[in-house]
Amino acid sequence: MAEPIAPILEIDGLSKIFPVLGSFGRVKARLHAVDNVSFSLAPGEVLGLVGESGCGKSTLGKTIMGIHEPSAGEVRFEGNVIAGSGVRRDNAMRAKVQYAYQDPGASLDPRWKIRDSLHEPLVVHTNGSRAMRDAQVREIVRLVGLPEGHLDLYPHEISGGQQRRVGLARILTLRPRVVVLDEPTSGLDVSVQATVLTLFRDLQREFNLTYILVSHDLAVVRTMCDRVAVMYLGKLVEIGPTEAIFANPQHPYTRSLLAATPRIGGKRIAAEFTLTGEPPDPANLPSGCRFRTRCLKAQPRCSTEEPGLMPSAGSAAACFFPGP
Amino acid sequence: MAEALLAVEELSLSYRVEAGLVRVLDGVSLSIGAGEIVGLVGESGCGKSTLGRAILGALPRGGIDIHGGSIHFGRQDLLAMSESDAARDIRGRAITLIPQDPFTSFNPLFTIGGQIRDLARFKCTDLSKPQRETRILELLDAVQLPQPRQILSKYPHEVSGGQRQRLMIAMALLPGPSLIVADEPTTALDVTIQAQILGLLRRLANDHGCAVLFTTHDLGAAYEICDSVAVMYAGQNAEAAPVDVFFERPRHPYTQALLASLLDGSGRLQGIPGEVPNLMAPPPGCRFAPRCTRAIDVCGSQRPRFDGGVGDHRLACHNPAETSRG
Repeated sequence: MAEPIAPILEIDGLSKIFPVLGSFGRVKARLHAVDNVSFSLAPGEVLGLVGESGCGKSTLGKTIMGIHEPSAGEVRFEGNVIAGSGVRRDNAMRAKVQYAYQDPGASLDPRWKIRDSLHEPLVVHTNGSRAMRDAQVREIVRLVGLPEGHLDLYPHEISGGQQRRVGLARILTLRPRVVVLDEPTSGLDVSVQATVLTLFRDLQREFNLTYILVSHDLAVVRTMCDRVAVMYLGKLVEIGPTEAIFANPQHPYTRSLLAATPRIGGKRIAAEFTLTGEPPDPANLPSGCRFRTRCLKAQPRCSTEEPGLMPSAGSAAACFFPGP
Repeated sequence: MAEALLAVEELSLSYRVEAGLVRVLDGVSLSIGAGEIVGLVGESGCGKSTLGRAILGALPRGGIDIHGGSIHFGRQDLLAMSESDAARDIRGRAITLIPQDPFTSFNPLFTIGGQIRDLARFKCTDLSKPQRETRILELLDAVQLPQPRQILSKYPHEVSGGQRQRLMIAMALLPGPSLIVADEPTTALDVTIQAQILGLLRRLANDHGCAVLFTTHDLGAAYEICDSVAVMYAGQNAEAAPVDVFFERPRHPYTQALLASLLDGSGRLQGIPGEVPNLMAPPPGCRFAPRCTRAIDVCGSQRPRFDGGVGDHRLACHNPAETSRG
């Protein structure tokens, strides 16, 4: 990629801390869901955000979107700060960065016809006439591949895959530039998954979109993304081009994650999988490197110092001892 | 293959709903040898969970019509047995369950130890109380739970999802079963925990000489631990074969399309056009025919018998592919 292209989105030192409340609302602990994460996105890029449940990948997506207010750091869209402490983004900015929920079917109002659900964002964000809105709705429905007749149906009358299309149409009517896709294929059968992913690809081209694709499914990320960011307990542990990460992962956690994914036709991994234990409690983190309690390469240094992201063989990894 | 421990023959059943009958299983056969791990795969709604439940006798009371077929466990026909005999001797003892969701399978109000000891009291009636305690601790050790004694005094919300699934495996092994029905046991787990649990399941099944019916929609997980794999589509058998044959030389068009829709890292995206049929009015004949690229005239009118293929490789198809997928 040529260097001078200005990033469309910059995430700079972003943190989100949730208080853990005990009895009488006292703050018992502070949970660092996202901890000092920085990266930037080029226009038209697809970035995969992977990690296991509780690693903060959805919280990061929601903080970028503005659903959560960051505890520290900021998010810049085309150079303008859109999220930071005390920053209120206006409606025009909100429309530019959109969030596609994990289960778009569940986010549609069951008592509204599809047509009304699709009109709503336009009513909120634009002041065109009803006829103008209707034209926009028809166009978007065509682009996401839904028959126009479906506009007069209720959400329960269409299939899960079609509900997903409606959810996307709702987002795309506002012509966003960046879309955060939260687990877009979870719960889908493999035979349907390809159709949904193809739709994402087509829409990206059609609308010149930049995606942040949040997923725990490495196969989906590998298929769809230009770059991959791996999170562990709120920290970015590795980020780099997709081919580099999959061919030569640098962080021991990334290596474990890849090793844990079954590969049909390959060696069976279950018998000799070496990553033991489970992630520690995010409200009570180990000192130094967060992964050291499960890491086979951990040295004394790992418990006293916290590694930052350092360039390593094509990607950047937060590890003192990267590589195989 | 070992002599069949469990043999399901031509089982057909429907759920009764207000609008009519949902034909969930249509002449389904399945065979499991002693100590064998059989993967039962297919997409949502294909009937794999219903078949697992039928074997366990855990189908909802009422609302079910069994049209025909049998489920033989050893020599006994589970469908012909009286409810009380089956409940006493087989279900929960010789055949046990590892449920999909380790989060909702414990009662949140009682300690884990209390719930496991209760189960042991009912299911291990031949053991004395101290013997039961020893057996529980042995099993917690076998599923590699750290500090088993402490875990017994904890409440379900105090342990993680992976640990709860380990507890479920220990509880399934408690009565010394010869068959465990594992219903999507790793679906709710993260991939690194899944790898641990799959390894554990495989090893324990071998150690205890216990067969496993492993239902899953994740073909990768089936590849990992199964000896053989059976695939179902919309309530019918499609294909069943030893694991390597299944993945290397599948012949049923549905199996081939399913394997081709897996993401292989090349960036290629290929799905199966069309939708799963409505099981209230399924297509006559082969239920996959409307989406099948190899369909011929007879597919639309006659259900293919599940007897094609050679030896352990069985398939139900009028026009199967000759060689590997393509």
